[in-house]
Amino acid sequence: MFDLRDLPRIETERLVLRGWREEDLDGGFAAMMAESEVARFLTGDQRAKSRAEAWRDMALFVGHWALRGYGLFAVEEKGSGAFVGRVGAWQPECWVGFELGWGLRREFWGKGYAFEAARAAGDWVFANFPLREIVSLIHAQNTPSQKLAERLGMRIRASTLHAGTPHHIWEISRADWLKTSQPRAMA
Amino acid sequence: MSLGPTLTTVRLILRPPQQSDFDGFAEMASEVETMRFIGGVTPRDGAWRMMATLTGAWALLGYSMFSVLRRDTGEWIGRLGPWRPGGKEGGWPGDEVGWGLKASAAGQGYAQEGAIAAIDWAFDHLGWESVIHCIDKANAPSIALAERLGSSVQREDVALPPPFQMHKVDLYGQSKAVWKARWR
Repeated sequence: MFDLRDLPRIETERLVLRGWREEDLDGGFAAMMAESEVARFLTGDQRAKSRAEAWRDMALFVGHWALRGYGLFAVEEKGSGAFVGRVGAWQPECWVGFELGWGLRREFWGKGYAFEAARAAGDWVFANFPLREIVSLIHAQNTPSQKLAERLGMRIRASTLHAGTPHHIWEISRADWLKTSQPRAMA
Repeated sequence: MSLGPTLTTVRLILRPPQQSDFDGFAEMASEVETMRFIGGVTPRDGAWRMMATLTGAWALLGYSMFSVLRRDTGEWIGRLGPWRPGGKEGGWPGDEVGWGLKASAAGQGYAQEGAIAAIDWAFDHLGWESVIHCIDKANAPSIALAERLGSSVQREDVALPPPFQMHKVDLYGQSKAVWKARWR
């Protein structure tokens, strides 16, 4: 029986990566998708989304877990329990590859949270799936995400049009990831 | 991995979607006539997202549309069942049981057979007191099926929540009491 409560739970110094709960919609996810600065690089049409559309996205993320066995985690802040964003593995049909993706609410930018969550999610991906590399599809004007990809050790493999706008496909091999990942205790 | 029940009718199996259904979903999503009133033709990437959204709804709500398979051949022929994106707070106009089958499976009573099983299950297990069907005014085959099921028009030109806010539908429906009296 697929149960959302059985999804993996990963703790980092300041964050928890966990499975989705219905409460995440009003706990921050709908607000996140309504933020134009966030939606600009996360949605196909670069448009902020309504609550109803955000629910469909959440259902899509959960369905991705059920169909693929991996997916985007809901990320919460350890101390406050606040919903911070969604980070993890993403590979819907026809996608560019096995993606490591991230997206945080605007108020949680600039704290190193995306790096912390992406590093933990990438560690989980390479530990659990026999992949030679992972990729990230990043809008050509999305400077903060490009910096994060660089910090993760990723490099641009190709340029592509995605949803009609210029994107780069960033990638990192398993060997390079394991070289740069900070060793740390993880359950 | 099971997200919900498996229902069996004389000719059909209804169960939550799984990855092996995808070629069927994609084929159906490519059919102009089939998709005309249910979102339009959708390429493979969009078809997978639709399937995954239905699948995720099972996990979030405990109900969603079933994949429909023929018992004799095992072929995936469509998807139908309870649908209320966002649940009670999602802005959907009611507790819906909807349907859609591949063109090759249309006209053989499969949609009616599956819809009866899905409505029975919804009334018996989800605590619903009524059921609706959101149908485009021009969708004559679906209107005919709603009427064969005993539903009638309740409201016309109803707007759906985003992303379908531009798409007006008529609401067909009936109460649990009427359903139980008719299909006992």
